[in-house]
Amino acid sequence: MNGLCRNLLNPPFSHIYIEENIIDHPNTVKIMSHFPKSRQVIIKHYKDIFNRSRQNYPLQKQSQNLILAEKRPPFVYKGSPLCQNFGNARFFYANAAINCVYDCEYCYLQGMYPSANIVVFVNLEDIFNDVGKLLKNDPVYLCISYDTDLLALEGFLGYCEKWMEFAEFYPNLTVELRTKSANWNSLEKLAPRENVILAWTLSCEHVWEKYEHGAPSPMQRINCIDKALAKGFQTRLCFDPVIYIKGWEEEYGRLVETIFSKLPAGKIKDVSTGSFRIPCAYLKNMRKNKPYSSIINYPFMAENNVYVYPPGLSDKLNLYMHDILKKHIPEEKIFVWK
Amino acid sequence: MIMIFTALNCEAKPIIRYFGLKKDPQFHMFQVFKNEDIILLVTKPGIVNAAIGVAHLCSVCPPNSSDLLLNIGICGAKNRNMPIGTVYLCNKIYEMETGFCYYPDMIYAHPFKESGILSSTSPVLENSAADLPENLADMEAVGIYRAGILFFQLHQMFIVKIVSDHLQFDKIDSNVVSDLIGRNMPEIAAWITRLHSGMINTPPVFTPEEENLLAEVSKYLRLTVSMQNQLRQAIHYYKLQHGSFSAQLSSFIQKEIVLPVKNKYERKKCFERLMQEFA
Repeated sequence: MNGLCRNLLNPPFSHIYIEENIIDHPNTVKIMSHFPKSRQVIIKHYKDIFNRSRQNYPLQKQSQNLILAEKRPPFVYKGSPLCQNFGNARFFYANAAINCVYDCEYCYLQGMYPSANIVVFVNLEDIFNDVGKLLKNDPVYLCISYDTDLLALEGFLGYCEKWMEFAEFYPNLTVELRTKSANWNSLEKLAPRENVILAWTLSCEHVWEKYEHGAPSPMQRINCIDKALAKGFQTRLCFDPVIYIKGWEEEYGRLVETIFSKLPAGKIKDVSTGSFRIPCAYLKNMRKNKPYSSIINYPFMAENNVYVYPPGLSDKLNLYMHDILKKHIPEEKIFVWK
Repeated sequence: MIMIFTALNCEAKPIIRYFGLKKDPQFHMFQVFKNEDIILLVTKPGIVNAAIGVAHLCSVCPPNSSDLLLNIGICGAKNRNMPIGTVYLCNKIYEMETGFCYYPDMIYAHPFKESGILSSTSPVLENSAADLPENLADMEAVGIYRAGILFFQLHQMFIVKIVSDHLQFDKIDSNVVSDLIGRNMPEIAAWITRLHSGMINTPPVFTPEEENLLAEVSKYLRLTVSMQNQLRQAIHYYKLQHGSFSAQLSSFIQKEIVLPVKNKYERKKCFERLMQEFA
């Protein structure tokens, strides 16, 4: 793998690639207004850029560009068995954006996609229509921020606000917005909704410092959660993935203690935890891109095409997290991925 | 190494002069000029010639991950407001014959203007300018790109074009071409050499000595391919955690009296002990 010195690279979003059929879409116009200095390149289909062969993912991550595109069907996907469904039978996810501004070494996105550029689908109304059709039958649990971090992009995207407005009309829809962001400026403008859950991924100090490049610190996230709880947002804490590092018990123990010394446990909707797991194909790509990352080069075991920690270790991590969480949160509110 | 490709001799001349390149007599099918850091090949005009030239040089001198490909050449501009002598870095290549578009990666800073370019097998003339989907036109860019992508990653390839005319193909004079390229060489050269010197080549995790040691262990233990992969991953992780594994692995070989293993049972037991050592 090779790279370039950072000072030779373009700043993020120096180039914005726009599909020719959505140039005049209101969301395109709005997003473009935030980037007056970016160069625009008109493209036919976002995959002409995103799926090119011979891209260098780690290098692109240091100088991400933006691709504005039209989402074609399917607009909504069934939830992965590797993800926690929190007891919801009809579990789906929608991706109005692909890729993230944060550079977490263990993130599956690096193995899932060939490009680090961020794709934003501007036709959010088509996703809404499709979700509306799903809701005609039964309740739906929908995760909207799995393949991206919508709250981190909210400053120029405004999609969190649009999802919240949409959710207001559908009481049988539960929306989960997963994030590592501490973007309170965007959140404070939004009104809390009963059926919209803000779910923060929380990592211990060591994991954040060494492996979550560019992401807000655990304390910044905790402060943002505190404000969100005070404002009345439905809030979920996700200790997922739990990562095996030297001194993991002390690290995660300290994290949980810090969190519950700062936050009112009674106001937290629920908590999830789960040891690191990832599809084999994704991890192989990630290892090629980052041969020096110790976190992804752990000798995992393959089980049904998924890499997991050896059974003893995986159980130990999950059990420990469950034990320390139940000191603060009722057991029925703790969801452990197995 | 910076690999430069030009279509014409008159485009190559000022580059050869600027970098002080010498003709390499080992190449017979193409004219090739080089010094320690730079190698230049004159492809002759046309998409197919350009692709053959790139494929030929890259086959003879396979590039590594810190090498760069640079195409320097003249182009026509459809708009009069794109003055002759302006340097463009191409961010999109439209292949006239197929309608396909190719996009070089724009992740590096540069001092030039940017544009898309149309690449065709025959010259584009002034009377068809209005219908062109891109502002620039040439006859090589797509050939360079499509052949180059077989040998380079996207971020290693650059198509730099200098406007020589406004699609009046018959008015191009070789002396003028040399002059246009020559005038812009200091800026192009400063940019590409700075970029090249900034390329960081990350070495592989295992040194050649460590690779030999791993091969030796695999041989002694008669490991299956699957076992070799497991061992390699465990040692990879161990090295990232502890910095080195050679001493520990060497001492394991010395203390294992069963080596080389004689049967599958011995291999299994010995492999388990080895994996335990690096757990």
